[in-house]
Amino acid sequence: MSPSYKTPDEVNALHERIRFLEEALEANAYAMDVLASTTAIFGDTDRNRSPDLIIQSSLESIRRLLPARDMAVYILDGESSFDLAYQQHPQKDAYDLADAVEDLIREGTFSWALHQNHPVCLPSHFEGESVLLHVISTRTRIRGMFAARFRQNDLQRHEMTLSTLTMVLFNTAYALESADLFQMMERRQKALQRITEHQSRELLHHQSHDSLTNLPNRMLFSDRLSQAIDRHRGTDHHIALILLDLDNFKRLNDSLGHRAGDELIRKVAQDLGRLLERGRDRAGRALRATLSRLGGDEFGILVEDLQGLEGCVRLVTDIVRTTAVERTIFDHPVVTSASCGIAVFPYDGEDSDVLLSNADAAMYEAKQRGRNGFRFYTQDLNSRTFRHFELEKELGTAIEQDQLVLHYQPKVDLYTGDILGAEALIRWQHPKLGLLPPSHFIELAEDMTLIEAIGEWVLRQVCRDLKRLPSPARNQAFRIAVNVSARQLRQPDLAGDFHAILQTANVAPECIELELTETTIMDDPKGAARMFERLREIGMRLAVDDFGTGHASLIQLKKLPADTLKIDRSFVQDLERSDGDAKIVQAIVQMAHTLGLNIIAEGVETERQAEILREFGCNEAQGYFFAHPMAFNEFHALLQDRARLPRAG
Amino acid sequence: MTVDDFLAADDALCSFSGSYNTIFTRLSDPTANVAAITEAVELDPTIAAKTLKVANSSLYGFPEPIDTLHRAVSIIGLQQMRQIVMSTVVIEHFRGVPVIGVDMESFWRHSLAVGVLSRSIARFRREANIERLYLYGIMHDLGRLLMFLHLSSRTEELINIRERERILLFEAETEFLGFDHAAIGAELMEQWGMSPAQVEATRFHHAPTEAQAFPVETAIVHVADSIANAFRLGSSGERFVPPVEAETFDRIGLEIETYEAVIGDARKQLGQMQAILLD
Repeated sequence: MSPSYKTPDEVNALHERIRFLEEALEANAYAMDVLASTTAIFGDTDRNRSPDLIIQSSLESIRRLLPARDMAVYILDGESSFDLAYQQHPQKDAYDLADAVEDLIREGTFSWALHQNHPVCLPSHFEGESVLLHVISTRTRIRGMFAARFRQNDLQRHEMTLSTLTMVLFNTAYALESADLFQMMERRQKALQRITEHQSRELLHHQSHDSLTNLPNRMLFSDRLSQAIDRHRGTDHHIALILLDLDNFKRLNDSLGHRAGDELIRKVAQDLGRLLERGRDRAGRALRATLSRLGGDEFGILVEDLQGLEGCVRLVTDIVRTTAVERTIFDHPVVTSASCGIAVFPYDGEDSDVLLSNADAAMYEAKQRGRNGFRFYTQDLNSRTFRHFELEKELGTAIEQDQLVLHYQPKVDLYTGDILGAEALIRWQHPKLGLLPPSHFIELAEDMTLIEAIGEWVLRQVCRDLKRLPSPARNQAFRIAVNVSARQLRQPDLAGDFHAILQTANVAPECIELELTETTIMDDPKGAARMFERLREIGMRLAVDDFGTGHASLIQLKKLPADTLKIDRSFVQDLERSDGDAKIVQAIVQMAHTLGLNIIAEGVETERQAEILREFGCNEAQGYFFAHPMAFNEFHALLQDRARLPRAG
Repeated sequence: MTVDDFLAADDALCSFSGSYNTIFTRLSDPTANVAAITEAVELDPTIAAKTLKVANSSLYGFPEPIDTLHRAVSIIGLQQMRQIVMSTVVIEHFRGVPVIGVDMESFWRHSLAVGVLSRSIARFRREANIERLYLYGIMHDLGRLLMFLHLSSRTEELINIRERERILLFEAETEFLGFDHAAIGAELMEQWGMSPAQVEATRFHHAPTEAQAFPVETAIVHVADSIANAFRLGSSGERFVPPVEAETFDRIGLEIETYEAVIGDARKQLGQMQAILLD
């Protein structure tokens, strides 16, 4: 077959062919441009990874290649059904491309076309139009189907570009595939990241915690100590650093083995942890404490926000007590004890290293002194706290051993000299130290939470004493005053407890007057008002003690259901010397009268003071001028003799 | 003797005449549209009928009967249709030629098998135009027809070499002539203006690693040839199965297990195609 073109027909054919080739070349060049720009399809960046976007970009490319009347893309969903993912011109009311494709699916042509990897042009119900189907498929996986409506004439003209369609859709399929893979990869990466994060958290925990007890280790502890120091610098709160070392731990390790030693450490750690969790400061707040195992049998305890050292002493006492118990370790009874050394910021060091080494020195001293105890680094603290510590131990048993006694200081009518009542004052008959005034132990009692028990004891004792007093004391006007502390005020059901005591003792509530200092009331005016209200309901009488030293406003005073104001002794003492004090007392008296309150002056020591008070209209007083506080028997005798006390003027 | 001697020998065999020529020319013309091709095919009722039968065969498995060539072209695709018609023309053209030493029936069964297998391999590779591989397969051994026709009685000598040395026929050819039937076939394809891919696939279908430009197409025909021989699907004169290098399978890229499906697929269609084209 050697072609030769001689006839005009053949020349024409040649011309025709050249024109066609030129057109084809142009079309091909254009198609190449479009193909080159299909990188937008690829689904390889975060921005173009959504299937919707991939489909959109593909259709944009196809629109540039072929003059379709309508286009649609179906995506294979979960390997089973084809869902219409996009249609260019959907028509609600008329037979449209989607309907035509539905027909093809029913006829089976659609599934046939899935296996033809080239454009398939099918006859359609659309006048002069074909429906073109082209599978969207990678080499291994069908991902969807492209469908379009074409005018038959257009289709013939674009015969050449149809193979470009195959390439675009091939790219689309791979883009969808890679988007899927990316998503899967991302999910896995996220899962991996979560695992890694979890593991590094764990690693961090391992690095900063002791594996045996799961407590912070030395590294984390000194870090926390440094942080605490930074926080406390410039404040007036203290940090206590307590180092605890088990006594004779080595012996246990040697005799029972390391596993037993570990078990003991674990148990001690547990007990200490629980103790610190329960620990409260004076105001009832949880302790800010960090327990750490520093290594071996050594523990560190960091207590922040300390307002005084009494709480710390109490805590260390508890710690020593908690540690020094008998435990059962692998069926063996093991008795341990511990020695503690305490360093206090800022007194014993400005930074964590100094504090740690001073606490260590203190602990060493505690060991030297016979173990099972504690030492402060500052020697002065040791003597003071030791005294306190002893006292505290003894106070705990004072009630049981009947060492508390009440003394009574009479209250006197300034006009008649009659004894109107008395203030009950607690004393501690200490076996060694003798009779101790409340200032020596009440604060300690408050720290130890003994105050509630003591408060109840006082009321009970007052009730008992009242019953034993001679007849003059039996009238309704006779009152015994009892002091109530701030701590008692926070007792959950003080009124209920008091009521129960009075009922049991069969004492009229009116006979008891409760005294609260103005300062206590002002610390928590609302709480005090509430408590006063309840105590009033019971029928008890209420007095504001040390009046003039707090900052009660008139309004607060008015709201408080008190019966009596008790002028503070500091004003009374200076009555003779200071005109100003005299005026204040006069004003207080007048105010009390105006508010309908009783008024009593305390600390009256001279006749002159009594005179002035009477002149001001104050009708009641107590103080050394009339009588010192006295034991019950004396007070009893005084009432029985109906002896008149000194009278003013 | 040279390759050209074989091509020059019989002009009637190496070129088409009458309606075959018209059809062939029209098919080779890239400017021809659907109407032009349909028109040409309809010039020869046998070709038209056979083409329509092929279009309706399990090769395509179209769910509905295709009753006009025009529809067949639009459904199967213009490019695809060119190759189907061309292969039909070639088979029709050579079938009637008596060649000494060649069992025509067996030769065409083999060629058809290689065509259908090549197409099936391409299909499993999800190639866009799988009919071109069908055409490559059908025409891959045409050189052997020319060779036997021209050698006539000397064919015996060739066979003797094969028997004596117990080698493959194409190896015997090279020993005997200095070149083999693939070289002759490739020259014929070039002369007919067939695509470069087909020329190379024909030339190297016994030495696929030498194909530089179209290694995949060549590998496909090579593997299809070996499979056809292994399954004794007709014969073009080989008594043994030409071995396939692992590298050739790698070129095609299908898992070896996939060939079971490839062969099953091809065998299903082969009987039907034989009935349409060879009866």
